[in-house]
Amino acid sequence: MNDKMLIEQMTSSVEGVPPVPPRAEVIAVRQHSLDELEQRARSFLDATGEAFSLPLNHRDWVVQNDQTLIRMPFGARAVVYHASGAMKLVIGLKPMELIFNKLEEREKLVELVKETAERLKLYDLVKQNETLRFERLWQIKAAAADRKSQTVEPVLCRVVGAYRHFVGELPVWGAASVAVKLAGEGVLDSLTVQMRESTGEVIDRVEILRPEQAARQVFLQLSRLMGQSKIPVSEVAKPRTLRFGYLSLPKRKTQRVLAPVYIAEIEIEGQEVSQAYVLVTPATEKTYLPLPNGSEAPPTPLRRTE
Amino acid sequence: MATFGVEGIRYFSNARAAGISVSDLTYTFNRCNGFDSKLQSAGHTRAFYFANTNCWETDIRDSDRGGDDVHWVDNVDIFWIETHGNHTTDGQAVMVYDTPHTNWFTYSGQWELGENWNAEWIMAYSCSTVDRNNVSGLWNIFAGMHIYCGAWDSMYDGTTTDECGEDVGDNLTDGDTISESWIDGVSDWWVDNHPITVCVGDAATWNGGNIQWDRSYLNRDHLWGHGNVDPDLPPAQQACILWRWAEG
Repeated sequence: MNDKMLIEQMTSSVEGVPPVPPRAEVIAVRQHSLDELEQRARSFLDATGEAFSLPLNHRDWVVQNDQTLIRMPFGARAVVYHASGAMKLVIGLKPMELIFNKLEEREKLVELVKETAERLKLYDLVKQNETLRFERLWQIKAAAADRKSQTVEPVLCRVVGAYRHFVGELPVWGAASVAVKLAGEGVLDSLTVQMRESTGEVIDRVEILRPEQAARQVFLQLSRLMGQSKIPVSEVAKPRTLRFGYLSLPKRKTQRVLAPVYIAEIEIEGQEVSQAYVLVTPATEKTYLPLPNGSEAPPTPLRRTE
Repeated sequence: MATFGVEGIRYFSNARAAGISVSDLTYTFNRCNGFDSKLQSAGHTRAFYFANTNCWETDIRDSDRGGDDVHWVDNVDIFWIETHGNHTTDGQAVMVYDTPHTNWFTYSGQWELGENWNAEWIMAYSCSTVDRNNVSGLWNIFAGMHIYCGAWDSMYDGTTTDECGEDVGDNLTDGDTISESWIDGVSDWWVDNHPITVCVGDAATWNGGNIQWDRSYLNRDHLWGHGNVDPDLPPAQQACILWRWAEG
């Protein structure tokens, strides 16, 4: 495959909202005060505790630098991330506690997750003109083998239902907007909500770059990462997807706007070591959402020399 | 409390110049620094933090095999490493370095961790260091070490995975088990990461193939100071190898 073919392959793999619209909105994201975050966390814990009859009403609040940790009875805890308003509740089960009795059909597990979502009223978390849609089922399994390589059948430890937040018809990519982790018999193990709340204010309505322009930008990013490699990028790169939509930054980062982006997943295969990248490029001429830079290592004492 | 070590490689220009097809990473040190800061904030002691060409394969290679693990990886309770990885056809983990000190690659066939030394847990943010069809290929590394945390396929470098180090660190210091801290911490349930945790167990855990999962390190081990840590299991008492993974 040559460079042109690689770019064409990326272009043809666009996911999200086919066809990519000619224009899209840049939308303001609501910022929360600490008091508001605390109130949201109380509501979140009240509702979850009620839905699952969990003793989440005795709470020890510890405000840390960038997050608030809430300790509750029986090892349960919640974390509220100040920068994004994301919340995570962990019930405190051990990893191999309450595992499923057997491996289940995927459809049955999806149904279990969706029933839980209804019970938690997750769909009420979004506002008018927004939706929350089931995206993917993950499974956590375990297996073992003895010295004679006799292997036991896997057991199903947990399922995770991942949901995606849509604003209008555009998905907000990034970590799962909601992740419901369930143990056997549908017992709640953890619940994470990581959605950027829009204010509804449209900051701009902008022209969207075509997928081939985005694919070229992704190709340039990948070329930079490969430096002076003797093997051309196009010979080793395997594009998985090119997605269009908004991007929610990781939960410890503030974000002022939801702006259209393209996101590529690319793997480098067939080499001595495997490599995998998520590469993001703005879908607009102007950059509305600056992306975090890669950090460097802290200054540490030089190691011994020979 | 625990002592820990960190090694991260972001740039691979020397390896490329030597003919190894390997790309730079972008968020290596976001993850390494995040793990480092969370553990230090909780009172744990950083023994070393090496970056780029200061990371050497001899740091994890067993001292009996010409390495120097006694002073580095096998001298800390928990070790975090980020670089590119893979596995061999016989199930050994492989990781690449950016300086040949003394080799460009490490192979887990040359690791023996936890012997009379210290290592309990290894965390490798690298692709494919575990062959899920041949997990036993890693058995030799458990010379007293408890859990290897790695990947059975790709692990992505990108904007959306740059907080994985902080997430794992938070999980560990909030009291989650080692296994759960890793699988949950490196998963955002969107990106196609493939975490796996591997440990060994005794005959009572194997139980004739009717596994007593509650007895395994996967279910019981926490970071020192944040919950139970089971005793070391010497090779002579190891009857089975157990693994737990996420797939989607």
